[in-house]
Amino acid sequence: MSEKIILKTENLHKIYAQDTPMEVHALKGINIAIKKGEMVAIMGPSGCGKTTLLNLLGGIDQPTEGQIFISGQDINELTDTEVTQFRLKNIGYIFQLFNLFEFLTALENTVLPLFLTDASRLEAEEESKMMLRQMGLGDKIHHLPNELSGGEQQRVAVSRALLMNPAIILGDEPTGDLDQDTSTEIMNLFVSINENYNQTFLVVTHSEYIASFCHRTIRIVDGEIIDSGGKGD
Amino acid sequence: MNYINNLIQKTFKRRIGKNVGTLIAIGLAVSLMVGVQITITSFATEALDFFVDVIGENDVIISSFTYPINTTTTIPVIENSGIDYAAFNIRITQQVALYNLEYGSLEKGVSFVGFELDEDPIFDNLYDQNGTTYRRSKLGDLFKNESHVLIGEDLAENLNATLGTTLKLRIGELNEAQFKFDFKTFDVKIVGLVAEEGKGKELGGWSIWTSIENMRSIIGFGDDECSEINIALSSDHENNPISNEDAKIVEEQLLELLVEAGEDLIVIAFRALILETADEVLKDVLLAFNLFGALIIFSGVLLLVNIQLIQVEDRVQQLGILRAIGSRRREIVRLFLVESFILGFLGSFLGIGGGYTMSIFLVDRIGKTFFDGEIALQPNVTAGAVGYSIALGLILAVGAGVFPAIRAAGVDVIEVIRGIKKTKRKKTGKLSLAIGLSLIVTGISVLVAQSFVYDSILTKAGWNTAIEQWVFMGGAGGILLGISVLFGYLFSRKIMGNGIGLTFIILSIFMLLLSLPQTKGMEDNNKILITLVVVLALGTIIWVGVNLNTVTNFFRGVLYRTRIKKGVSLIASKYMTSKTIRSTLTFGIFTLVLTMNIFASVYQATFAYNTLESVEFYSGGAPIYIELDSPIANETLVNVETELIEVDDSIEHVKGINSTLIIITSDEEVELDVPTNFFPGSVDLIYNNTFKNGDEYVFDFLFEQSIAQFNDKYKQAGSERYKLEYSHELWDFFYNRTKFNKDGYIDNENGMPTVISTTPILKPGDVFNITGIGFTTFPVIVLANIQQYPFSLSSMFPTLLITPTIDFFPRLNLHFGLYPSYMKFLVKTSEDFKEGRNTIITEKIETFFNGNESKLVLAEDFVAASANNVWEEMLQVVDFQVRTFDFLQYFVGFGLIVGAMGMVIIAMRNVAERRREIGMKRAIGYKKRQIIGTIMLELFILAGLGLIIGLINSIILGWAFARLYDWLLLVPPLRILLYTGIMIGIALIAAILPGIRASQVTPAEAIRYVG
Repeated sequence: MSEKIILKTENLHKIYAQDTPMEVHALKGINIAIKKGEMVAIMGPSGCGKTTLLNLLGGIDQPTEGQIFISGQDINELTDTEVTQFRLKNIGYIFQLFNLFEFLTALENTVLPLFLTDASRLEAEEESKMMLRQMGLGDKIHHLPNELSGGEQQRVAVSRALLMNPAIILGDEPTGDLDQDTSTEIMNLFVSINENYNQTFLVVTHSEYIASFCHRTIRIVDGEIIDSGGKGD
Repeated sequence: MNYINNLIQKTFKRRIGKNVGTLIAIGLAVSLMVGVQITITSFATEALDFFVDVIGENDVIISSFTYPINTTTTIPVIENSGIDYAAFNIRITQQVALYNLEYGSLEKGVSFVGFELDEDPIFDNLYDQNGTTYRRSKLGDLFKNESHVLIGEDLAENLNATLGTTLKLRIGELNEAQFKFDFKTFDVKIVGLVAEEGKGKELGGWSIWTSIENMRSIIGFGDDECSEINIALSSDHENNPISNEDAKIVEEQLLELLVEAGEDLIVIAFRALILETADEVLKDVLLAFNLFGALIIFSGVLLLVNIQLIQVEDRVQQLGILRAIGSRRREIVRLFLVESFILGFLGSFLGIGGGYTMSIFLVDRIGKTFFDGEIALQPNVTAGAVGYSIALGLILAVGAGVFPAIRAAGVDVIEVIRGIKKTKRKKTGKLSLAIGLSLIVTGISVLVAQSFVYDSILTKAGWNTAIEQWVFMGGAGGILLGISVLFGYLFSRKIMGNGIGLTFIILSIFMLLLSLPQTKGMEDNNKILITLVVVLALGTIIWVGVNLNTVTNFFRGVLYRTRIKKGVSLIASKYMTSKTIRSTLTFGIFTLVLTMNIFASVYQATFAYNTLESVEFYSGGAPIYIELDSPIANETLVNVETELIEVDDSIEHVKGINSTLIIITSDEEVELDVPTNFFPGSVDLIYNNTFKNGDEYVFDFLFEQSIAQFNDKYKQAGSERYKLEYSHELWDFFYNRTKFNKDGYIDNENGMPTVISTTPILKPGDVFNITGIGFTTFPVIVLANIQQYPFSLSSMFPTLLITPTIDFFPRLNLHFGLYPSYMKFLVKTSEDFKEGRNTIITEKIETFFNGNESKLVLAEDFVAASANNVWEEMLQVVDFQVRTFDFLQYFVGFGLIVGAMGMVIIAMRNVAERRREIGMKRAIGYKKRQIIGTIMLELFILAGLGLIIGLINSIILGWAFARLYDWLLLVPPLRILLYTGIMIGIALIAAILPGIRASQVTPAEAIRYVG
């Protein structure tokens, strides 16, 4: 872990259905800073704003107020196309339901981000295969998602997220759909990647157990950070 | 059960937006079907009405071309026949040339009709300008002076005549002593103008009318003589119709009774003949309509199944939950069928509206295309048609819902609840074993039965009717499909699908190669071709659908080499493969529409090219032909062959030929597929021995078939040079009046005169009788078939060339034979056949005959001559065909437009269903334009597939058609490029809206969307 801040938010607010009777103030002035190589868990009860925060950090939703810096870039200043391109190159996404394309094989699911760049097909596929092999899926690269176990599917998702060597990987309940053993396996994988490649992770979870794998845990209640301390705080 | 009913209600309310989409798609599909049906019905009804209007209430005509009918002896035969007739009347009809001296306008071929003023009202067919019936009492007043006539409005306009104008008419008066007509001119005054509307308008109303007494005085008929007796078997055919069969029975009965009474008369069931002719004329057009209509309806069905499948896939989650809480499979089926029924019912009503709107345009185009805009056609919507449409909509919508419903019932609860998919068993079940074996056994039985009935199933005897070929296809298809289904059980579903697709493809190509040549020249060949069109289209759609993975892999490989991002190409191609059935249905629609459109344009181009390019050859290089309405009486005034050359410097050669109408009767010794008393439209007789100049064949003919003697020598050689030599040799035999026996060999002692036929009905070697009007019969033998002769191209009946013996023609046609002159002339000019001044020369020729300064006109011995530019005539014939196919393309165009609208709805629904996937893509890093690109690329690939298959199919079909007529196949590249452009445009339109909608999906929400 270095001291370099890879992700930082300043006074982040998100209000849904603003100025209507249905108005929900999901995030209320969130300020966080995550260092390069840090593994951070975000915890909180349902509806506290965890996923909203993750969506804002990933640039797939817009904050009502505040700023988000990733690798020093204020992503709110970018256009939709620029933020998409930024996301492709700098952010890896891992979801609870894996979000793999059911009609694509493990290899095809993994290679997708590289296929959006100018990389050659052979180069992209070779890199993806290597990634899948590292994830222990070398013999299943041509399997469709429904032919893989939940843990294997999530490893494919991790491969896809890692492929572009992103500044940060955002995980939205990445083990929420997995049993304890598989969850442990996936989290160990995250830790291993973090240690070996100094990869930054930000993981949203309900589980204290999952959070225990991270360096520190940020706790959110009603859209506000109540604790942003380190591991064991 | 109640919860299912509640669910249906709630689902309908909550899914209102999606249901509206489905409803519109069903409405569009039903619109296609209804529109096609109304258009075809309207065309058939209006076209038949057009013919029926001409006929009036007239069922049977008794006539005599040569002698007047003696009413004193003939009428009692009718009265005592016991035939239940409604009325009969007598008339005298003559073809005349009319001339307006004051304005110099001349009309040929006008019917001059004399009729009884007190005839039965059912034969009333005269309407004044306001369309009201002419009162007989008023007619009596009008005709009190013998030279007074009524004239049709259009004819009057053409002659520049009006009430009070005096016309000069040339009419033949029977010279009984010399068995001929003496032509004289008479002045007649127009005292009434009649409308051209109403029943019995006499072939467009190109007639003038007077009292029968007046006619008798003009042409010298006695008080008990007439030329025609009309019999109405019903006084109101609309409400009390007479079948063609009944009319023909009456025809036979009357003929028999008249022969017994010693009357040598011609009896024709006129209405039946006209209606059957109308059917014959309409048959091909209706066939094309029905073929295209069937394929459009087929694409409508594909649209319906497609949208119904989306309904299922969209609701897999809901179905899984229903199954999990205890719903039985049949309840799920019921849920879907009830929904399908409701949507089908409502969609049918929408479809009736849409179909009617579509038919308004199409029916209007029909009027412009087939009736030169003279008839303002209205869509013909009957209560029956509305009922049919609703029933059709329901059957198809519910029918199209059955497959998706069964799929819905088969939803795997575990798969749905857990969001996973189990690996499917690759083989089919035991049921397929039973089906496969049954198909094989049935197929073999059919073929065995067929070989017993027709001796052999693989020889011409077993192949020469559509039914035989269909049975063969059914039998062979059954065996092959059975084997395919068995393969499904033994190996895999994919092999089964390949087998089924290939069965259809191989069977259709096999039949195109082997069976179609057997039916060359047969009426049934079009029917077989239609079957093969459908089978081929179906086969290619199934085959490509089964192998969609391979096909899309190929497309992806190509796309990877383009600038399109690989991520876009990968998703687009793989998504299509994952939804094989829906993708297949989509490209199936494109395939069907493009097969129709490209085939229509290939056929159009091939027909036009082959017809036009052959015209010069078949006319022997003569660019002009002249037809006279009657022979020139006074040969000393004008010698056409010598004097016409002076009309224009370009005229090099004028040659006369003669024509008449003869009766052909079948010979008992030869099996002829020709009805007894079969009438050829015209017979051209060439008997002048200067027709050929030395060894130079001024007018070449190309014989396509001839009796064996010639075939053996030349046909195998095949080249154009050999064909020409063969034709010349054959012509020499014909020209030198060589006689042939029944076996097709020269036998000048006992052989028969030879005839050259232009119809495949009368084949080389056939012997049949020809009968001169009112004269004895002669057996003749068909020496050869000649390819279409330019003068008979538009004729609905076959034409014959009669062997040129000098005395033969007068014996066949008594009075014309007495004139040493011709009715038709071929004119050769030095002008270019296509681009020269031939039209100007035709005008000069007409002025030579018909102009005010003409010697014939000045001597009041005028004939009405029409000179025709062969090339322009042919252009008109071709133009009609071209317009017909243009119309068919309009027809299909509607299919395409409606299909595209359906595609938009399907694609929009698709986007709604794929929100989660779109959100995932956005999260990964797909830009908005890449999302649009994915959706568009999918439709482009499917459209491209449709284009490629449609192109291949239509070229195969065009080739088959060309083979039927020995045409050179022509593929119009510009038209195909145009269709490619249209296809791209349609795919673009169909994809752009859903694409934009997809790009607007908010990723954050979409990721959480679970359908």
